[in-house]
Amino acid sequence: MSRDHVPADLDALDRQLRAVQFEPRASLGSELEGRARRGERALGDVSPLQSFAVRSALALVSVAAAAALVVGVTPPPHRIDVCCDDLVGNKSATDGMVLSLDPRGRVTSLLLYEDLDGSRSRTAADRVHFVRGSELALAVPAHEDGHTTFVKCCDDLDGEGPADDGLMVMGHLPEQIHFAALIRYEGKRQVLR
Amino acid sequence: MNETSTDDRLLAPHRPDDGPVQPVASDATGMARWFEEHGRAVYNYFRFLGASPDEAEELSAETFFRAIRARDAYDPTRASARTWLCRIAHNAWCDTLRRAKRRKSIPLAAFRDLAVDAPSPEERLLWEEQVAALLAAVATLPPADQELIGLRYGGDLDCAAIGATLGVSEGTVRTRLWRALGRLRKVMAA
Repeated sequence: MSRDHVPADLDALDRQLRAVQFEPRASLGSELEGRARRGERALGDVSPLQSFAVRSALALVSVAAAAALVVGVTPPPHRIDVCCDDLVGNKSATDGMVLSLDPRGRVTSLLLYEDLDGSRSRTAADRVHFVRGSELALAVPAHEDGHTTFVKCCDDLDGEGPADDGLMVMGHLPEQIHFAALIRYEGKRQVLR
Repeated sequence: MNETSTDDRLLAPHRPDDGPVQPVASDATGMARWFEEHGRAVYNYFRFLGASPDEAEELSAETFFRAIRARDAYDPTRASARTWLCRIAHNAWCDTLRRAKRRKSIPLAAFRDLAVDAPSPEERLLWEEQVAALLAAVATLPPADQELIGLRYGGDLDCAAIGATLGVSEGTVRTRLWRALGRLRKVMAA
């Protein structure tokens, strides 16, 4: 900003105003990046809501959702594809994770992959390291020889905003993974999911 | 050497020979880079207009999401990226005002995001009080005055860029800005 030749009688006020600076949260930029990566759009994008056709469609969807609740159908889980970082302890930031979460934030499936084609997203060309469903179970004894644990912390892995998630991976790393779970840090508590 | 600025690269429309479109990934990358370069100015613009830290964060997010959506419309030969983003921020602020009757006062206690170069807690407190009084005075001005002050001191724009943002001449901005500061000085002195 140039000085724009501020009149002398306003110079002190101009300098006082210039001295006022606010600092947005340091993590805000990366949060926005994450929100954009998950496909979030501007509020302005919902302006068609004002149209009768869309309102009508929404009303129909609401009725359908209510009907689905009545018959016990739960909404589909949402899917998050996080790539790329070192998620399996191989010191190479080429791993990705595809998570499916139900509306309550519970992990219904977790897939770890290596981004072989450089697409920074899960494709058929990638190598799958590990996949599981909603159950948390270790296929082999945790104390088995050569068994190691790798914990990645902390980031927003579940798409909820705060960087309060970790990932725990166990197995003969990085080749064989026997267990993987998200960790949510709640103060001193660590919740696996 | 024919160099392209970061803004130009981020804002340039996608061309067929650029390779496959990856809208989500490129949006996210563009968002991060834009925010790194201009996020603080946009955030400060909203803070000067009386938004709380939380409101300023959300409005900043809205601004950058709108910018990503409209990036094909950006013409770097007509305005700098900062000016263009401030115009989007201005529109986002106007939408906010339309949606809700905004209060006339600002939450004076909410200065957790104030940058302070003060060696002692007492000096910090003193500076917070001065800024609170200053922004409370700004909040009593007509909206057009607040807008000018927000763009200049929050958005860090000069009079020419403010003119480009608001669609008026640089001279008009200068005249209005000095009048606005004159009114602010009177409020402060009262």
